[in-house]
Amino acid sequence: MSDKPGPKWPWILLAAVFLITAASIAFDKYKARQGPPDPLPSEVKPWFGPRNQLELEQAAQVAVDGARARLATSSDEWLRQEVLARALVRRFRATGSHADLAEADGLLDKGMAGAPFPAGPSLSRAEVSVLAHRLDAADKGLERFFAQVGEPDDGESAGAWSLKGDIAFQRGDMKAARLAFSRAEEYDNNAAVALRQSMLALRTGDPDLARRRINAVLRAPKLSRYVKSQVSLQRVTIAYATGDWKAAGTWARFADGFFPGNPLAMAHVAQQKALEGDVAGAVKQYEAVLAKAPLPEIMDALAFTLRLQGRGAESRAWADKAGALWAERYRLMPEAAAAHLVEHELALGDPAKALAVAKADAQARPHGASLILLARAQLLTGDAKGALATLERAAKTGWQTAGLYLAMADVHTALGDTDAAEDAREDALDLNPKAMDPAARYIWFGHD
Amino acid sequence: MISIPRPWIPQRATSGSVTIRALLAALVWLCLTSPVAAHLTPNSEIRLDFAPGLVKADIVVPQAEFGYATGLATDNSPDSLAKARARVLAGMAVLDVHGRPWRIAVDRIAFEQIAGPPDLHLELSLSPPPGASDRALLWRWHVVTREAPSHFALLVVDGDLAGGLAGDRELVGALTAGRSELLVNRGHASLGSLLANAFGLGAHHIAEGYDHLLFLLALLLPAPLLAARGRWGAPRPARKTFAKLAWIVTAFTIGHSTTLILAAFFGVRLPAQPVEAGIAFSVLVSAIHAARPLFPGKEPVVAGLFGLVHGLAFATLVSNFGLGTTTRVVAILGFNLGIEAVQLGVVALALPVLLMLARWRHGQRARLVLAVLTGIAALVWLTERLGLS
Repeated sequence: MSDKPGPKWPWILLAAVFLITAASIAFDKYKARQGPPDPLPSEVKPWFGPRNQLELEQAAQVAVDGARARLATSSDEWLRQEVLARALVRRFRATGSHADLAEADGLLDKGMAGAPFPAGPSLSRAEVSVLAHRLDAADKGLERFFAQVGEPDDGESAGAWSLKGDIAFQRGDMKAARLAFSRAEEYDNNAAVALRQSMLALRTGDPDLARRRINAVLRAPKLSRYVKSQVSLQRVTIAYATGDWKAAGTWARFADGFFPGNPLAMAHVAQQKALEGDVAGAVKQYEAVLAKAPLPEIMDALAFTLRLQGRGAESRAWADKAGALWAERYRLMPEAAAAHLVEHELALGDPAKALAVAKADAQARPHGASLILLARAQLLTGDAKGALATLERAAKTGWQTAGLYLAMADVHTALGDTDAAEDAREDALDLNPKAMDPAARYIWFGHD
Repeated sequence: MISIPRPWIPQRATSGSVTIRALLAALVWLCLTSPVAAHLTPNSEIRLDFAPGLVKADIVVPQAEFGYATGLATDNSPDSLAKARARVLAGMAVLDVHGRPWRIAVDRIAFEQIAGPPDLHLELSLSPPPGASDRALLWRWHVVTREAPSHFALLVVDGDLAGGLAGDRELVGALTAGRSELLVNRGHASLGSLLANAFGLGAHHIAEGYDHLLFLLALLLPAPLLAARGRWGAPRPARKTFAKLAWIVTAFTIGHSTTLILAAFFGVRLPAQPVEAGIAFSVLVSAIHAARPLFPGKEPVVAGLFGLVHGLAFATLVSNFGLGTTTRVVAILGFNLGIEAVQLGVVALALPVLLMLARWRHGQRARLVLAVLTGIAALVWLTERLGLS
């Protein structure tokens, strides 16, 4: 028997094969996690439907006029009331008019009261209640919907379960929301469910999943220009949440070009200009958008941009206009406007005024966004300990965003716990490397 | 049981199929009633540095927030600065526990970039009214918060020479529109605690000041050797080595103590950048000297001269020694003792190594390697501090 060692090359070869295999598996898993790359904007194709904002508003107007005329011939019929309510919601979607939402809400109340149980516009009732942030009313609408003996079709069931998920999400029950959206997906794997799942994933710290779901919707056939432009704006939100400002700019400009005239898309482009350093251009564009569509959220964005430039008089002028509009919306639909009113007061008004509204909103909808607003109001009114408790409550729901951690950092700093503040900042930067970039303050739309 | 059939909903009157309808509802939820957020504005920060008889305040107000709140110009013209100064002083007060005002002197005011976007930066000297404690004050603050209630200012104590701090800094609280006053009470502090804290401060600064220690160690590196024909050669006798080390350390101490005393008592100051660059240069010189003798036998003189520069750096670190002569003397004494204690400790640890190195057969190579590494570190510091990197 020879003591001479055998050749080493088989072992080296084996090790090389093992390493290459392991690297391939790891790379595959990584790629699978990343999902397919974003579609190119040129690959996003529309189905039929309005081609621009003007056509959308005209179509919405025609629908409202037609539904109103039909209801006039038989004003007590709940089905016609529901049809008008849906047309009004459609116009609300196009113009942002809360008066339309309030009217739709009233019509659905009438419809529910006038229909024998369990018939009636229950699903529409639930949908509008979710929009109006009236979760108990939405629950009742769904209870009535599920009480019907006739088997709903898959689309309706998916819609109902999606709404259940929305309610759970707004109540801060992320697990229940995830289960409800999965249930909806079992009935009908549609874009509406994917959008909701994307939102849920984003707010629970999984932006990759959020991006994959949005990309699927962007690639999906049979969706109108308007829908795809709005989905693109959701893609912008995901990009902001991960600090990918380049992608945000790409999709904001795509949304604006794909469906011209939409104020929200135009405002996103203005915001992007500010992020890219062209603040004067951003201000000009915001003003141009507001000349066509005087929406308070865009006024707030402009006022905040001007504040960050130190332009107090102009900022206050826009903030005052926005404040008056929010007050009117709050009068019409208090729950629907509450969070926006709080956002406005915290950024441009008086936190003391925001506190009571924020408390009520957080009590009704104890999810991360409302709780972060409440915590900010508590911090700015001198209750840093209360703010910390509120933020810890938000974290317990599974809410996981850079905005939450930055809010925590501020509260820890105010409480003198600099180590905890530093940890929170690091958590924020893990999710969003640009979370602490001073320019990030220009992000009003799609901020977390 | 009577079952009531679900009503038929005419598709033409809605947005199309139920799926599309649900999608549009989701979009409304996502977009028009998009998730709201707390938009953060930059906050102000007030840092207090307590010393016997005097409190220094370093105030940073974000320039944009100041402009937003006051409408004043935010440039560095004398007129703008005068208006900004008046506005800040009108929006603040410092009172003793009986409500008597402290004297506020504005040492410096400028709109400048410290970190991130530009700020309004003020340095104030605050003196208590006669008979009042110099360790308790009520800080009243309305600057920006009055006009912009969503703004807040953090009040922080980041220096207390006599009483010490629990960490790097202690937060007093956040000043907001609704909470515009905060009481800062640092309690009682004796001369003994002043001495102890100044000692700790000195020890801390030298222990963290790697450049100071590296300068000294590089200067000590060839101390156990004799220079001959432009090179370090045979070992110096141990007794003479001890004497040499003692001279170098003493000269360095005399040097930095001199400028520290001049700074504390006569306000001698130099801008931080040339001082810091000078220190890096001193490390480079001592590194070259460790490799090849540049000034053999004159190390104590060089240590003393560069010690003057190092002392200026200590003075910039400890800018507030208070007002009273006795307390200043005690503070400088404690601070210097802290520096010396660490210095002597480091020398005591290095001494056996230096002696062994001088007698080791690879000692020359090791010394050269250490000198080169020190030289590289010095060059990096020099480049950074001259703003070349």
